[in-house]
Order: sequence, then structure tokens, then C-alpha cells
Amino acid sequence: MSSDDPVAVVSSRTVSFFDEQARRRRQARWLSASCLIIASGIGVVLATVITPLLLILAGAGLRLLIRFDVFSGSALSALHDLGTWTAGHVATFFLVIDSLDQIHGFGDIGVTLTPLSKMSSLCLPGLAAAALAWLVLRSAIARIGGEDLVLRLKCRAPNPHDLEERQLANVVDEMAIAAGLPAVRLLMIDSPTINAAATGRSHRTATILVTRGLMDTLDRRETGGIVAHLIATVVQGDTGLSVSVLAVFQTLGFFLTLLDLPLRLSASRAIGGAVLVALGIKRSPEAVAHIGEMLEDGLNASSIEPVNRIFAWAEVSKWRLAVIAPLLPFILISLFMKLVLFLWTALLLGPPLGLLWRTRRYSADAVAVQLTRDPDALALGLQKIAGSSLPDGASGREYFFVHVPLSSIADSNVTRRGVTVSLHPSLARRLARLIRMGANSVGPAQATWARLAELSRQPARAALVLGLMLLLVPLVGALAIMVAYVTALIMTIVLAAGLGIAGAVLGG
Amino acid sequence: MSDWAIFGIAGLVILYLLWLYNSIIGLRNRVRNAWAQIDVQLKRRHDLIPNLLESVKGYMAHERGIMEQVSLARQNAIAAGSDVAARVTAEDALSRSVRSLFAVAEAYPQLRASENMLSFQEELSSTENRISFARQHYNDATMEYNTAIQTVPRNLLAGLFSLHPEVLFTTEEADRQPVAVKF
Repeated sequence: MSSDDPVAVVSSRTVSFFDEQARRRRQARWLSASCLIIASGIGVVLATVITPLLLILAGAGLRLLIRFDVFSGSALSALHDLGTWTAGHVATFFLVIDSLDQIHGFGDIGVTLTPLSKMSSLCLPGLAAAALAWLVLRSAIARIGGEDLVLRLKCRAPNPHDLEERQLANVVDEMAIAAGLPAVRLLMIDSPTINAAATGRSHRTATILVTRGLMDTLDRRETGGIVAHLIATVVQGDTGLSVSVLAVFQTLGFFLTLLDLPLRLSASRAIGGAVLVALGIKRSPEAVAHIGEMLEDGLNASSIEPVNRIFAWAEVSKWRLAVIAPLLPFILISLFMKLVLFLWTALLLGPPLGLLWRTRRYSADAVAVQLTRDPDALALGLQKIAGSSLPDGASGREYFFVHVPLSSIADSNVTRRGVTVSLHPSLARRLARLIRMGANSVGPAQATWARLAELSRQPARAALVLGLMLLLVPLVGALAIMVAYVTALIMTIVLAAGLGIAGAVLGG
Repeated sequence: MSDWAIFGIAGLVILYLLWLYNSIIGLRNRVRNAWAQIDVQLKRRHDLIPNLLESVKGYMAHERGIMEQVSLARQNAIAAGSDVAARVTAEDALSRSVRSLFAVAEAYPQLRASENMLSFQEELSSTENRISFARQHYNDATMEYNTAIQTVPRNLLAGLFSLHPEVLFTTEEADRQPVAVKF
């Protein structure tokens, strides 16, 4: 760095930790609102496949009842009602398609709105099912409350006869008192890496995990800063938030896995496991976490692999193609839904969710400064963690840790779980915020974020950066239109196929 | 139809007022709990001191004066009971005497190296930290409560139920210095 004093550039204005907390709280409110809106949008998209699925299941069940003459009277009338309800929606569906022909410009979009609003009740069963699945999965994840991470990291209780571990336990107790929390559980990770994490579903079951490496490297003051950040995470309810978000991804995975049932064997294992978890038969943290991961895998691109194998098997001869012909609607719907949900989660839900998590991290830093009244404690601690990595067994749950070093981002694959790594703000930005809150122990090499502040002194470079950013605007716009178009197209196809099958089962 | 609208709005207003009142009481209880926490930590210090004196007695036979001073300060602090002003003075005196005991102990190399002494030093300095963090939390909670009942809209309810601001905890400047712990 050739600049004279980047730190001075940043620290020219200082903020109090109360102002920083208030600012982050406002940001978090906006971001969680937009996350909620996008998540309900995803719910509507998902409903176009869940509702027909529910109708098919209900129709098949009712037909079985009639066949075996159990409550056949009421079953018949229910079948009739469902049949007319579905037929009504099929009729409005064609109205929507017809109205599309009348569109000759953006002004005509209003024509489709009337029939579309009539169809909106079609979403309700699907949305209700998705909400139910989310609640069940969330309570399952909350029940294990991060114990799976504790087991995977092979954590142990601190040794009361080891003076250093007792000192660490004291630091944790002190910070819990500073935050007004009841005693927080401390567990040790026997790993030379320097890091620490907080898990648990609420402040009552909160657990702080600290590696031996951190304890050996950081002094009491720095440890206090790091522990204060983790306690702040617990006080803010971030652990509860992560449970809800994980449940959203698992809900999406659950329904995609449901569509995969005829295509891959692992899908039936995942769904069977999910049912056992929901009924409370499987309770051990490892089993619940493992089933959760299998459900998340339903969202991954790698779950398309079996489809390739089916096609490779089928293209050999005509009779083989005839065998897989009934599978084709499932394959197509599953592939389309995967594509559209990937677009929504990666492009629309991903950014606000990532920003929300980042905002909460900055906010936890500000609370940590409030608890210790010492911004340098956290700044010094973070700088020592920077060069280290995550302990073994942390992959997939990186976001629980106080800092995710760059080396572990390079290692992780770009999967849904890899995305979580980038949820953490960069160290340089966090240090820059800590400098604003009064830290002065940050070396110039660490405060690379200050380079952006330097831009204001170099108008030519600033103009170039601004120009590049403006170029992004039409690109983002084109992307948004593409996603909207693909979503509308796929929702139409999926609804047509789904309602067609449902109508056949109910009416036929 | 308009009757229902009036009932609905009235119901929402009542729910909002209930929520406001509960939030004030929640904040006030946090202040009270924070105050009780300070007491818990002070008591923890009282319980630690006899053991500390017992374990240094053998090494520091010549320093009977300072040990008696610590013991006396502890008794005074316990005797002060619930009289807040007297209690604060007595606890501050106890802090100072414990600190000077550790300062004197520095002169005894054997004692400084002893496992027992290190462990007591850690426990006592942690207790000092706990006391000051508990005070800090009390002050933070009190400030939040006071701000809440002095600003719109909660000040209206606070006036109605005569809820008063709580007093902030202030200590002598000497007591704000962190405890010097040497190993």
C-alpha cells in the first residue's frame, strides 16, 4: 500500500456503538421484509406444483376409499367437489392463456389480471402445505439445537483443573453477565485452528464453542472481544434466525425431492427419513441433521445426475423409451422446478439473505463493543483469527463461526452450502467499522477497505468504477426480465401438466 | 359494517396499549434483575475471600496487618446489608484491600508461583470483572428503561401508572481501572 495513512482516512468520522446498532437494526428490518416477500414468492411458484400433487394424492386416496367401500358416500361427494373445483380452475387457466393473446404491449398486461386473481385460490393448498412443512422442519432443526455441530466437531466440556480453560470459562461467564444472559454453556474443540462459534436455538440453549488454538493464541482481552461477539449473536437471536432460514432451504429441498421420488433411490430415503423425523421416531441429532442434509441435496444440481443415467439407459432402444415414457412428465416438471427454484434462490433470495446475515454480523460486532466497551479487543482478536482456518467438521455450518477465513472459502465447492461461506462480511470491512467505533490497533495492511475511501481523492478512477457499476444496471434488468419470463413459462407448463393429471384422477 | 370497523380499531388500539405497557414492565424487570445480578457477584466475592486468606496464611505470616484489613473489609461489606450507600462504600474498600493484598503477595516468589495462588488470582480478578460487567449491564438496562419511559409514546403510559426513572450506578474513578493481573 503506497497511500500515506489509510487508517486516518477511515477513522476521520467516528460513530458510537449505539448508533451503529440502531443503523444495523433498521437495515436488518428492511432486509428481512424483502426476504419474507421473496420467500412467499417462492412459495407461490412452489404451490403450482404442490397443489396438483395434493389433488392427485387426495383423488387417489378417495378412490381407494370408494373401492373398498369405506365411507364411500362422503368420499364420492368429496371427490365430486374436488373435481368441480379443479375443473373450474382448469377453465380459468385457459382464460389466462387466451388473455395472453390479447397482449400487444406493456399497457395490455391488465387484461390477464382478472382471470389470474381468480386462479390465486389455487395457490392456497400448496402454500398451506409448504408452510406446514416449514414449521415441522423448523421445529425438528430447533429440537436438535446445533447438537449435530457439537458432535461433528467432537466438542468436550472444559477441564476445571486446567487453569487456562477455567480462565476461558470465566471470560464466557463475564460476557454473559455483561449481556444479562443466564449462564451460557462453553465447550472446547480440540483443534489447533483459531476460531470460535455459537449455536443453539435460543439464549436458553446457547452454546459457545472455542478451539484450543484460539485459547492458546489469544490473550484474555482478545478472547473477551471474540466471546462478546458470540454472546451478542445469541442475544440478537441470530441462532434462531439461522434455524428458520435453514428450514426454508430444507422445505424447498423436500418438495423437489418429492418430485424426484420416481427418479432416484436416495429421494425415497430422504422422504422416508423426513417422515420419521416429523413423527418424532428419529430423534438423535446426527440422524436429524443427516436427513436435513439429504433434503438440502434435493436443491443441488448434482441431484439431476440420475436423470442423465435414465436417459442414457433409455436411448439404446425403442422399448426402453416406451418404459420411461410415463416418467417423462415427472422428469420434466422436476427439472423445470429445479431450474426456476435455483434462479429464485440464487438470484433473488440469495442477495438479501446474504446481506441480512452480514448486517447481523456487523450488528453483533457493535453489541460486542457495547459489552466490552473496548473495540480493540474484538479488532485484535479478529486479526489473529484471520490467518487460520476452520476446524474439521465445520463445513456446511460455517456461518456459526465468528470469522470465516479466506482459505476455507477457496476450499469449499460452489454449492448451496458453499454459498453460506460468502455470507460473512470481509475482515477488512469489519475492521473498518471497528475503527469507526474507536479501535486504533488495526494495522494499515488490514484496513484494505480504506482503499475505497481513497477513491474519493482520485476522480478519474472513481469515474471508471462508477461507469462499470452503471453498466451493471441494464444487465441486472435483463436478468430480472429473464427470470420473470422463465418463471411464468415454467409455472404455466407445470400447472398445465399438474392440473391435467389431477383432472384425470379426480374426474375420470 | 361501520360498527364492526369501530370495534376492530378499538381492539387494535387496546392491543397496542397492552403491548406498550408490557414492554415497559419487561424493561423495568430487566433493570431489577440487573440490580440483583450485581448483588450475586458481590456475594460471590465475599465467599471467595476466606478461602483466599486461608491459602496465603502460611506464606505471608509477616503480613498479618493486610490480611486482617481484608477480613475486616469483608465483614463491613456483609454488615452493610441493604443500605445501598454504605454498601457501595464498603464494597469499594473491600476491592481496594484485596488489590493491595495481591500487590503485597508479589513480594513472595514462592506464593506467586503457587498453583493455588494463581487460581485464586484468576477467580478474584474474574469476580472483579463480573461485578463491573454486572454494573455496566445495570446501567445499560437502566438507560434503556429511562429512555423508554421518557419518550413518546411510552411516557404517557408511564405517567398514568406513575413509573419513575431508575438511578444510574456511578463509582469512584479509582474503581473503574481494570484490575492489574500479573502472572
